Amino acid sequence: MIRSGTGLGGLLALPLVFLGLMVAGVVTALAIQVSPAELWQALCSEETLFALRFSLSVSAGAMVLAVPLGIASAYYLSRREFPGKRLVDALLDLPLVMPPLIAGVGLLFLFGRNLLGEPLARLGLELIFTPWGAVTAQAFIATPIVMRNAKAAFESVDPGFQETAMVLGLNPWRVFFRVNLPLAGRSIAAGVILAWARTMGEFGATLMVAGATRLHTESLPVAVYLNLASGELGIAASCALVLLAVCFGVLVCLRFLTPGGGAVKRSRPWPSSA
Amino acid sequence: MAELRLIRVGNRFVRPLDLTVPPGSLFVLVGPSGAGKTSLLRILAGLAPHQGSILLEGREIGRLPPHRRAVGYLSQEPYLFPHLSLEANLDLGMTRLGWNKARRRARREELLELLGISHLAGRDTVSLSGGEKQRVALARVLASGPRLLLLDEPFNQLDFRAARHLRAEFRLLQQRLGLTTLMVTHNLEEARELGDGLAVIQKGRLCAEEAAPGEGQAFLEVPNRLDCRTLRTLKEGLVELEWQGLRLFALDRGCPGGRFRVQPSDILVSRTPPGGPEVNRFRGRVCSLEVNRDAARVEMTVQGLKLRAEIRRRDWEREPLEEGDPVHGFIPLECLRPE
Repeated sequence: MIRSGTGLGGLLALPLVFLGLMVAGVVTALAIQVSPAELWQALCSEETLFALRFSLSVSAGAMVLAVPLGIASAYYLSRREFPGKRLVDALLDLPLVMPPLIAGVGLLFLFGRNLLGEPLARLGLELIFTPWGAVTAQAFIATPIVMRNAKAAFESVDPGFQETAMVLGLNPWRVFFRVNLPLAGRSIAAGVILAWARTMGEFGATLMVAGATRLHTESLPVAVYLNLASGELGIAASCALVLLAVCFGVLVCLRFLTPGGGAVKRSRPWPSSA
Repeated sequence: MAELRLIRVGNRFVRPLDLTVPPGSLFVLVGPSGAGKTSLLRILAGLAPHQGSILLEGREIGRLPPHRRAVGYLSQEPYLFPHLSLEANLDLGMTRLGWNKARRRARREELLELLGISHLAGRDTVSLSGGEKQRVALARVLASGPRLLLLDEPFNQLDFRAARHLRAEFRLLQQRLGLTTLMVTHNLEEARELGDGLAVIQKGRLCAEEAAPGEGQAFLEVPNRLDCRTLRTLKEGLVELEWQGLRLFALDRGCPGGRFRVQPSDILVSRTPPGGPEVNRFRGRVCSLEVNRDAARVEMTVQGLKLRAEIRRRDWEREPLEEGDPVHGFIPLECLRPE
């Protein structure tokens, strides 16, 4: 006979404790690598500040591309039927499951000299091994995240609201901006924050397209990589801690944006089966 | 005032039909669930594809997108936009008119006054009652300046008293505004109470107009008829009845006992005892079932006699029944009417 609290419930709590300890262990291990004084010095170093500025500006640029692209695609997919829709839907999801390194290699070839690189260069746009390349790579990774969340959000809006707005005399643009977008807004915002956090931590695709040049295309993850490789633990740890702080901030924002504080449904206590 | 003319209008749910609604009149289409009533209104509002010709004031509107038809559509659900205030909901209805702020405000106040809901100004739409929401939705539809008003059982979700009250108010308002209106309902009583003209629709086909009374009724939802004995009249405006050994309560409508009727769609049926007061409940067993696109029709034996109930599709999908299942039933006392 299994007793409440000490039986199955207690047994299932063990993995929870293990996971909690693992996460706490990782954070602590990063934090104790350097003393507080060294950490402060590393945080104020030119390289850390450059990496922070670069990451923020590149991720902002990526979001400027990803948000309209993702939301518009999601709206079209959620409201229209067309031949091959499922295939297109699956194709747009590919960057979500594709290893970032492979995505980076693909972008490198696509925007390299042999394909789009030459015509873009003639227009004065160099992507490979430039900050613009980092923006492109991060937008490529972030767009499907924005799109997936936005599509689910649009699909969760009762079509009756849209139809009511149409019959009331709102043209399709107004229906989108005055009705569908505000009604789906919270979930879309949650997706945008998630995508932005993903771009801040993006490494593989950015490395392949923009390279890893100190104080030129050095984002926070690239700074961690370069400084670990050269034994500069202080800067590596401080950049890692900045990234962790960003991730934590994102989680807090998501708790506020998701209905019920992030919980799907308040669960009942473990049932007693004595 | 606008005349509505339909010439061979139909789609996969509605067989091609011809209908003329005279200017300024309220025409009612009556039919059971799944008859194609809502499909027809959706065609007229521009929300569903169709063949045939829709003429409003002699002008073809069938090819226009919904936002350019000047047709108002009020469904069972008020669909008030929860992210907007009550005032902003009404303003949204006036978008097409391109009015300035002052003119919109004046129109808003006029409509709230007209519908007797001025006291709701400034309220959050989420906190309104069902009847209040439906009034605001009606005000919003009127604010959009429609030439034709389509009503899809707009009082169906309200309780009996609120529905009766709002229905009477709406009729006065419609006559005052002279607004050409096409309404659909499954309730023949409601249709007769409101309509200047009436037609019956069944399985997507227009069967009969009121000019041939009786013929149309054969296609409608047949009410359950209960031969009751009146036990006593209560002070609370109720009568206590006895039917097949069961005690039932009905609103006292000043009629002596005898035959009462209840519409199948008014009977609540579930596997578990329903909530609410311990009156007008019964137990029975499902003896036959018919499920269509919109509803499930359940026939059950209660105290040796048969009762028919109709369950809306979305409720049915939550709790489907099978033949032979024991069930609990409940008849809301306002739905038990003397013949």
